[in-house]
Amino acid sequence: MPLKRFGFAKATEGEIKTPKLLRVGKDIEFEGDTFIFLGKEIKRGVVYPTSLEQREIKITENIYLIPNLGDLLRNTRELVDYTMALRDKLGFDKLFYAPGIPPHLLPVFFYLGYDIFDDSREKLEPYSLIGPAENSSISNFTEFMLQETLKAFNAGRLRELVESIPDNKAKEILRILDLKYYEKQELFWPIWAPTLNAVSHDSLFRPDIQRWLQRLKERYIKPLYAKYLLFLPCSAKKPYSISKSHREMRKHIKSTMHEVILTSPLALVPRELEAFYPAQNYDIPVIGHWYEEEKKMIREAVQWYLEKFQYEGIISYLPESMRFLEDILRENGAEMIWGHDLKELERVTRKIDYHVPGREVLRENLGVLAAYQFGIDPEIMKDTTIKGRFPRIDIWKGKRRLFGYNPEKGMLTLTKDSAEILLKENRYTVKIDDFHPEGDVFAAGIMDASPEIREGDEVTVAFNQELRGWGTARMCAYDMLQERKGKAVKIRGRIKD
Amino acid sequence: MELSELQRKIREIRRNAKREEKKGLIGAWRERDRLNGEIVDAFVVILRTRGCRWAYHSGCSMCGYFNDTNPKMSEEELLNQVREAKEKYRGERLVKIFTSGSFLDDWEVPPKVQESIYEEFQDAERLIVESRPEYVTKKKAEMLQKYGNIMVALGLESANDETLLYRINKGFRVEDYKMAAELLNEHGIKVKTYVLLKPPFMTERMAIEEAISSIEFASRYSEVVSLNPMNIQNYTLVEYLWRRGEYRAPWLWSVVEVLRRTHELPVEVVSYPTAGGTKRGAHNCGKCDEKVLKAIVNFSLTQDIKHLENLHCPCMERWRKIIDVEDYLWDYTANL
Repeated sequence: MPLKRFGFAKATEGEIKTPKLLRVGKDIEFEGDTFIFLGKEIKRGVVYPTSLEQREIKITENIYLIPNLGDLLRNTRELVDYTMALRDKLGFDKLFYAPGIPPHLLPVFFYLGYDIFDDSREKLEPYSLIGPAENSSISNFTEFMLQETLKAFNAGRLRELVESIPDNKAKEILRILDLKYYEKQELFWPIWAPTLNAVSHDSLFRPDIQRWLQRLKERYIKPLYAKYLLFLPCSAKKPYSISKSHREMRKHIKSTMHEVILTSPLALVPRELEAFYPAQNYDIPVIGHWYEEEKKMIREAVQWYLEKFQYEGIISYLPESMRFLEDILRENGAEMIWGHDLKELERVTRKIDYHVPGREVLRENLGVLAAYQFGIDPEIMKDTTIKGRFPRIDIWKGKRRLFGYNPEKGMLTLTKDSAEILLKENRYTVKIDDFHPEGDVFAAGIMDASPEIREGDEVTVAFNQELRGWGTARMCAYDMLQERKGKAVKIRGRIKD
Repeated sequence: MELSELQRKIREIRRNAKREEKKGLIGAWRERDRLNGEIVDAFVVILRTRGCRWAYHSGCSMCGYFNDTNPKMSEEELLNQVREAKEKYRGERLVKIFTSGSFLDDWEVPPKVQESIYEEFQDAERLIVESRPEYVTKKKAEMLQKYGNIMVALGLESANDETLLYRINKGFRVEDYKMAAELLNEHGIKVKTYVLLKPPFMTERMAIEEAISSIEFASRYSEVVSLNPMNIQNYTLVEYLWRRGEYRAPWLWSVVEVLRRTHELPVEVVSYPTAGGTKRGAHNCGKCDEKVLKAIVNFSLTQDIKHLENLHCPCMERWRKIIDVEDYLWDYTANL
């Protein structure tokens, strides 16, 4: 049973706890032609190599041994395609045993969805982080790699580790997954994680970064007050608005501007979404140089944005290093300020002389957030009152609380009223059997789940069209439907019987 | 994989072979061999026949002998070859007649040709012919018995039916070999048995273990057991795998290991590794191959185990690790 997932990588418990390392001579052994796997005897039989036949070997109901991985590694596309086809056939919760893989590739095999490993390869030749080595600096390198992988996984940073393996095979597997299997990976990628470190150019193609760009295109609607656009640079500190540079800029912005931050690897972050993962969580090595891939991504995003949304005026306040946007900005009639010239920023924004009250800006911003988070109409925030001081706020409609707000996650939290709305819209809805949840909802009781639900999402729980509760998804829609065990929704509010 | 699929693959690879309509003997030469406890000169002849009948169906995964055969071979032409062989014969005490198939198969070698060989070489102390077990009939046994000097060599390859069926596609089972060998023994005809070291789809360790148990099994019916380490022949399934890095011919250390662990059996166990020391035959690291190969041949000729003692090379450590670990990899590409 999966406890936690990041894409295809998963930690599970049940028959055995995974990821798991099997030790040759202890956990696994050969007696003649019989393979002993944790005390279970399996006849080896005739195993053909991949050019004749590639076939998984069933060890138990849940565990499959995948032979010929060394052979498959010679053609990583074949390896990835085969593994994905096997997942489609057997399911994403089964445990895959990858015998004999080179231990420095353990993180990427785990990322690819393999769960069980062994130390056999290391017994054939010593290994290091860069592959086979003259000698090994530690006696149990495979164990070390598994521990590092697990540490990274638990910290939500497996992706960073995998991006950093100095081996072309590892890179190939990662890139094939990114380019060919984004949709599938994204299904299993949590909606929130504490950090995102864009440690390499491959980070641009992370499922959570791609999801950000995709959702901007699918769900983003600019607020009504947004008549004048202001492009700003990012800051190291997040969310941007608490950074020194942004606080300073704010003092010099003298009209109600719609602020959009241009950055890598997220391309474009409207101010309203600056706390939503990964905008609040990402970090990137900063050296004041933009690589072509980054330029291309930002240019494409800006072009798309300016084509889709109309403004009465556009201002850019960007560093010299971002002059690669100059032609696009000029074409769109932007007033450009290059470099750190706050006085100019003040002069230009003062001239616009357009003012919308702060409460209204905040309300509309929250409407945009609702649209982005739930894919619903931002009008939901119409006639609401915001109580409290941002970011510790609650959103009320008349005498009833409509939403809470979680500043750590930059997400709206549901109440009875908003849960009802989602249910009517049939979005982020988990359908359960006819019972009233006492505590949390377990996968066993789930009849249906909206396909857009990811781990960490706010969800509505209902029996048919009858609201039964609301809370936070602890697994994605796929698992809610496939799993028979495990906590599916952490209930925060419920309708009593 | 279904057996029919394996056979289809073997046929598909074989179709690429360019068989020429050649005439005359494939080869004839002299070599050292062992006969009744002595080292003697042996006369070896390879007749060019229509080839093995099993190869016309699909054939064995490692066998490329069909490459030299001629499907249009006539009886008359075969008799010419017998004459050619006889002309080259210098009265060696041991004569070995090979055919790239089965000498006892009347379709491949017409009875008249079989008999002329027996006649022409009846003065040799021993005449060895080869056959698949299905051609060893009671009638044949009675015929061979009359000459008294004939030994029949049977290619058992492995005493494991799973290997015969799914690794070699041998086309017969262990039981078929047993019946043929017993029939020959009952008629007082001596049997030599070939055991293959390292059929495809096996790890090095499995290959060693299986060769040893096969030799033990064959020793019950044979006077001599010849351990044949795999050599990679053209247009075979094994060559196809080898080119893809999915098969490695056995290590010479594995040959040594099998010989050491079977030499106390009450039969002669010999090995003359074809293409030994090359990539297409049993080989080690390249540095020690010549030395080890020589030791294997010397042991085979003398049956003195001291030739196989005190052999050393740094590559032995690598081989030992492969023996210990390869099974756990579930992959054939690491043993190179």
